[in-house]
Amino acid sequence: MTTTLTKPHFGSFTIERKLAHKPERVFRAFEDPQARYRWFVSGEGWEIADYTQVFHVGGHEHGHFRPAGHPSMFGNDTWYLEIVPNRRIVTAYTMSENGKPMSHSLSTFEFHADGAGCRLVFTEQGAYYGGDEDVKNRKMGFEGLIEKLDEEIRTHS
Amino acid sequence: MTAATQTKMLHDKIVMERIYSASPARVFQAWRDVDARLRWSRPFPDTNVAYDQAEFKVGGLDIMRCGAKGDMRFLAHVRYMEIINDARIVMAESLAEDGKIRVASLITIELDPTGKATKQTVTMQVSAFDGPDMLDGYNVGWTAVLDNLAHEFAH
Repeated sequence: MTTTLTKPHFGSFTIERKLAHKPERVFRAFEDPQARYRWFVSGEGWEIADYTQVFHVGGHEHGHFRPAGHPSMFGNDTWYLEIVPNRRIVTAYTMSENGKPMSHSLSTFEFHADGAGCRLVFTEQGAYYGGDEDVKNRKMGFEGLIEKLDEEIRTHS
Repeated sequence: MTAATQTKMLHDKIVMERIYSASPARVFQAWRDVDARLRWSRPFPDTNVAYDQAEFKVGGLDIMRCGAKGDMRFLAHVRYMEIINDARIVMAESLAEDGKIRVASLITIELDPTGKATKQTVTMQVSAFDGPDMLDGYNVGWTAVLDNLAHEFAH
């Protein structure tokens, strides 16, 4: 008997934020592994089981983590497709639950100089295996991450 | 002189469906097999495709060059993100021209049996870095190669 594969549904979203920091300063929070661990990798209430950070084109960043006490282990496999310093970061990444893909995404961060600050534009285009709320939840997740990015830069100059 | 404004990226989703007179296993094999790809993935008779590297597995990387004979100016990197035999391939592609990456895309290939044939759906979620011409290139190029792919099953 054949098992029916879950078919992906496709969606995308964009988040734009004006940050009060120059593009170079924002980019540095991506490039510096300790800074990025603080705002992107770690999270209150999350256990990080393992995480290998890289930051170069062709590099494979990967880790496992879960909300404290959650029965499942979640995974992230990220490949860097393009890094233009202070301008653009493009990755392709897979989120998985207990080794099974939940989604595959193409993600781009653009850093645009805007007066004394930076207009950050994040776009994700993805294939999702969950349900109708996938895109909305992912967007909310990234809105939270960008808040953490802003806080990271404000508190670590 | 003012600093050049960075061009805003363009994003698009392109979906192409085809019905091929072959089983999903046979269509899947045409995607997996590099010799087959060298036949069908040349969009036009005067373009060449050459593989520097081929790794058909999750996390594997294909590197290939293509372009007009004598001017292979395009360099493609394809990272495989999911492979389900005879059913689905998900990959991330970046395409550079003359050393500069111009476009990246998430490409999902789904193979569904329909009678003795296969319905193939290719969904390309594309990010073009500097203008719409790479989006046009995707449309034109992929239309051609997916038509070519049908010839793999003509015998």
